[in-house]
Amino acid sequence: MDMEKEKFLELASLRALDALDGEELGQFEKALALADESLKREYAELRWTVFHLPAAAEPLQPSSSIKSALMAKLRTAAEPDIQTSAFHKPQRTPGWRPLRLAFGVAFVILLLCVADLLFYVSSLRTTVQLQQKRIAALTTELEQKQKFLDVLQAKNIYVAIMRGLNVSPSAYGKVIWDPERRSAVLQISNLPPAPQDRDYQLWVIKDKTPVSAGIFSIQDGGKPSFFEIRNLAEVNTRHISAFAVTVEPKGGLPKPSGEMVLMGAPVIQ
Amino acid sequence: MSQQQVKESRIPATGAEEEKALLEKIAHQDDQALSLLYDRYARLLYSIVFSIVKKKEEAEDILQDVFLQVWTKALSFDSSKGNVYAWLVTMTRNKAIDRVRSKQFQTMKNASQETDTSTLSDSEQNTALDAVMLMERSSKIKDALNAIPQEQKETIQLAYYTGLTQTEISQKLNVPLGTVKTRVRQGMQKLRGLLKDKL
Repeated sequence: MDMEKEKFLELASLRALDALDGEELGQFEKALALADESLKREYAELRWTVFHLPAAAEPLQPSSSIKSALMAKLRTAAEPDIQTSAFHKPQRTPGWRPLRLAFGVAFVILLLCVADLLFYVSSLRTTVQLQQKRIAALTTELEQKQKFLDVLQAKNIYVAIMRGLNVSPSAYGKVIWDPERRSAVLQISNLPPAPQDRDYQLWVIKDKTPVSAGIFSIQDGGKPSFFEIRNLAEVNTRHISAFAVTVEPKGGLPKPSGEMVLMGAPVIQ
Repeated sequence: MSQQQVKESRIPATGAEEEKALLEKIAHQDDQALSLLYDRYARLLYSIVFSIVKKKEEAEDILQDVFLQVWTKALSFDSSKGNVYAWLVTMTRNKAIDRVRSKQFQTMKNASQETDTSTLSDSEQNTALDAVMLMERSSKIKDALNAIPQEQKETIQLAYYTGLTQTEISQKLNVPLGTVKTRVRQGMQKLRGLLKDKL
């Protein structure tokens, strides 16, 4: 038997008992990996021998209470320990606290990230909703202005210019109407918003009789306001003597009752 | 004899495949399966633990730990690395040796040098077939150990039952490292031969 093989078997006997240490442990593992089948079999038989040693221990029966306590503990078993392989060398079991702490911190960070993401999504939603509202408002404005342009583009249009009266001397307005379509545009400037329980009402004065052309409200007195007038009651300028605006109760009235703020006659035919 | 044959033959007559199936059930949280496995192995594993720690309460505590670990780690059992018997025995031995090496245990041991022998009187007479077979097998293995020279037996037992390395054994017995290597090599060779004949 050559020294190399004898050396292998010497280390193998110690390794089978998990009693090999130091550099020799690494040397044996390398040698085992390169060993031929006969040496591997020798090592396997040494491990087989070791596996029988437990049976040499004095046979003892544990208390029955151990099993009872074990079965009761099963559902509240501790966190798994490190994996034990068939050839694992005894060593201190690692502490689980640092790992639990790391998982705990990672979980908290994850929660914070999720919360932050949800907040961001929520704020994006709000932004989208605001933008959608703005788009809707602009679309309405655009449609309105298109209608105004339609009136202005008419082949025959009529204009009445209204001036502010005592209550609002700086106010002025125009009525531009298309007799063919019976639609008109009302433009108002420098007229303050009406009181909360009031509306402005436009009248067509036909044969000295006022006929309602609709109500409107001013949002911002500093900017010119445009209103669409549909189905103008009277479009024949020969029958229209004037246009007037009065302040009426909310919703308007069939006949004017409030103060007149604007009035004017058709100037362009 | 191939390594494969060594793994699957000459194991306790409880069926390797049956035990593997038990572990699979345990992995699926079948407590009945764990109960069966406990009934099969508790005696052997407890004996191993007690032979290492030599204290009843510690041995009971470790035994419980072993089966709790089986409960939680059954899914990770790799049958290609060994059978259930080898897995359980290795796990049990490792836990017992770790306990012996722990500082707390050393403190307790120094405080009381007496071996707790109460468990010996607690041994129940078990007339089940498995228990009888286990006793018979245990007897054969003890005979084989007793048949090798005392110093070789002592060295092997120090390595296995206390987890000491060759260097630590050398220091404990106050013999050269080379002597430890020779005793282990010769003792294991003889033991292998004797066990092959008896089992």
